[in-house]
Amino acid sequence: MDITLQHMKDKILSLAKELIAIPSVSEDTKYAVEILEIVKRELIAYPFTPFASEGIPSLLFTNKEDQPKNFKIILNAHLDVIPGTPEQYKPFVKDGKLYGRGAFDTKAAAAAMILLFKELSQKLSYPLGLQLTTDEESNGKYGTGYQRQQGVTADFAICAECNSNLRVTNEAKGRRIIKVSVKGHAAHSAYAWNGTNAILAMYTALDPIIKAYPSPKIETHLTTVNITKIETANEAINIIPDHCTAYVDVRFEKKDEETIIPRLLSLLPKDAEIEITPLHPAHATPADHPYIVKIQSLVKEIHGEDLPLRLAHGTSDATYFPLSIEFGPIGDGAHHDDEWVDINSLEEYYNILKQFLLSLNK
Amino acid sequence: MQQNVLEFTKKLIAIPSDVNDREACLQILETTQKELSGFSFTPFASNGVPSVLYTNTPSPTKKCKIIFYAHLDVVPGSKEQFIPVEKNGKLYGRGAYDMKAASAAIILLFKEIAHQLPYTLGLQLTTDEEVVGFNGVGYQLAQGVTAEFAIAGECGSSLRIVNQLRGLNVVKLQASGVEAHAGHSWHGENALLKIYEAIHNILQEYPTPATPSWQTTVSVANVATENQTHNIVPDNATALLDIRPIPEDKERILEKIQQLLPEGVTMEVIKTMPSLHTKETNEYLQKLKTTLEDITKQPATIAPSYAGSDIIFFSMNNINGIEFGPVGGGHHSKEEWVDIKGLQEYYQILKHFLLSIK
Repeated sequence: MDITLQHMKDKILSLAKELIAIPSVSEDTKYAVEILEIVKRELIAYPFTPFASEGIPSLLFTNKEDQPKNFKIILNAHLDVIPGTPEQYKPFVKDGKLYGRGAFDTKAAAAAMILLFKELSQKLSYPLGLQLTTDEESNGKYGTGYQRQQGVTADFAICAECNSNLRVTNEAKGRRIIKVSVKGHAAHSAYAWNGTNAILAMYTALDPIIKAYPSPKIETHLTTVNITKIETANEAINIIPDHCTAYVDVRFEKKDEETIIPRLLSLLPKDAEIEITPLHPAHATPADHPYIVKIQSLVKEIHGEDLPLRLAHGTSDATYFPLSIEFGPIGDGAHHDDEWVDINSLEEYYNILKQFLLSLNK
Repeated sequence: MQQNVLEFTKKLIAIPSDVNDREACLQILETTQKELSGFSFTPFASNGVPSVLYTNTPSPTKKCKIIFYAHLDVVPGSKEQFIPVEKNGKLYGRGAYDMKAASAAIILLFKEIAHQLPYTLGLQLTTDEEVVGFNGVGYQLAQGVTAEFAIAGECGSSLRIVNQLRGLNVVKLQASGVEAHAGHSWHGENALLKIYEAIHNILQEYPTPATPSWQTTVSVANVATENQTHNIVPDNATALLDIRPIPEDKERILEKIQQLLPEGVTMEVIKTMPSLHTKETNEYLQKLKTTLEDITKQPATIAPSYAGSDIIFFSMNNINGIEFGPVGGGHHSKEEWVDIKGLQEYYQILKHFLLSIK
């Protein structure tokens, strides 16, 4: 038994390293294809459907020869990463941690899911899907989003996301981007009184929002509103700009989904030009869903600790499914220079998922 | 005289000496050279921009008592604007007011009386004022051209004696914060908000007046961040400020701006131009005032001007100077004109002013 476990841990680690070594930056088609080839080679005996939307490839493996589109469970992992330094694509192990770009987000968890699918799929009585995508870091629209659009469904989806740290993440904030444009009147700066400065008009426009939604000092479930960009086309130093645009990132809980945008719009001046980009909707899977209850009890049993449910502040591909969770191993440094995943927790992660999938067998 | 100045002005307007058209600028300098043949002159060139200093001395010199300054370049205009038109006592055309009529008057006046004067009179002709005359008057002064008093026949004056101009400081504010994923903004400090705070503090202290007034103004020309992604709280932001201090504020303005910056915001001075303040008691200014009042039979106006001009370069070199040009309007616009009768007065005032100096 111990030998088998050690063997599996090494296999996960080895596959994770292989995946990390590919600089599969989101939406880079060449490396997306290359990394999916590794998965195909690993799961050579299993039927799969290739998808591609706007040139972005993704795969759907199934454990049934008839390749169904409706699954009891879907395991979902993304193999794209945000850009890293060249060193980050050389994975290494130190003090029980695997370091590298994507170690935590989410190549190690993906390796665990791939090998688990390989070990279990023939032992399960129900349809299991394994979705591997390459565009989660740029919104997942052409990967998970596209597969869903093509009719792929699941009773329940488990997305191998970072920041879960073995906590079942059943809620995620929704996200919108509000583009605000205001106009002023250009004038030569020597005659400043002849102009209306659009940059100042922009700050006046945003001020009520900044005051109503100040930057939180500590982690919060409340709505956050962040100005991520302000720009004007004016480049002449002696001209008062007549146009200014700002981008506002808005993240909100499910319960605020309907009210947040009208509220923000009511705080903006009537003559501002507004463009709203709906990105992810807010997401919430009921805490008492039997699968959630089951996974939590397995976390307690295998990891040895009772971990509370979690709300994700970032968005992920989990939001493409009606009932889903984000769930991944312990680690840190997603999107940072020292990204790592804890190797022991990776093994626990594998075992929790394994026991969960087996428990659904009739 | 009047007819000569008018005709010569028309001749100058007809040369489309757009500040960006070096060939036309050279051509207009050659045209003036024909008019001034026989006078000593020193040619200058800096970064391909030519300019000339004429003097009434037997051989060229850089040391003058009085300098007349004229720029012969104009801002871009339509084809029609380079065809001068007389209408209702006004001469229309690109550069009529800014400042070819004044240039024509100054050049012909120099030609008429320079040799009668017992002191050194200089006439500076440049072709880069519209892009700030670093290579023209700026270069000449850096090469040692000097004077006790300078008169620029600039537009905006309209027979007022302009003795004060605001300075200019271009300042770049740089805010640094802490980058964070927008989903975890509690880990970050938004640099755009710091820049906002800085701008807010500065504008509280230096609000933009609603109507023209002689005070220091601060204008925000640009705000930007290097951040390109919408899900990142930016850790950097910049703002460009155009600061125009009145002479009383010029010494302390940068220090005051510095004091108004919140933590995490630093400033860098990109460009500084001094202000101009020639005292009303200056003997040459007083002489001009008296002459002006004698000829127009009206009290002279001594006033500040809001826009900058090349006269600032004299201030930089500790030379007292003023702007003094004929009556007109519409500079940089489609309807630029100069008053023809006023042009004659202008000529006479300057002539008697020069003759009054011993």
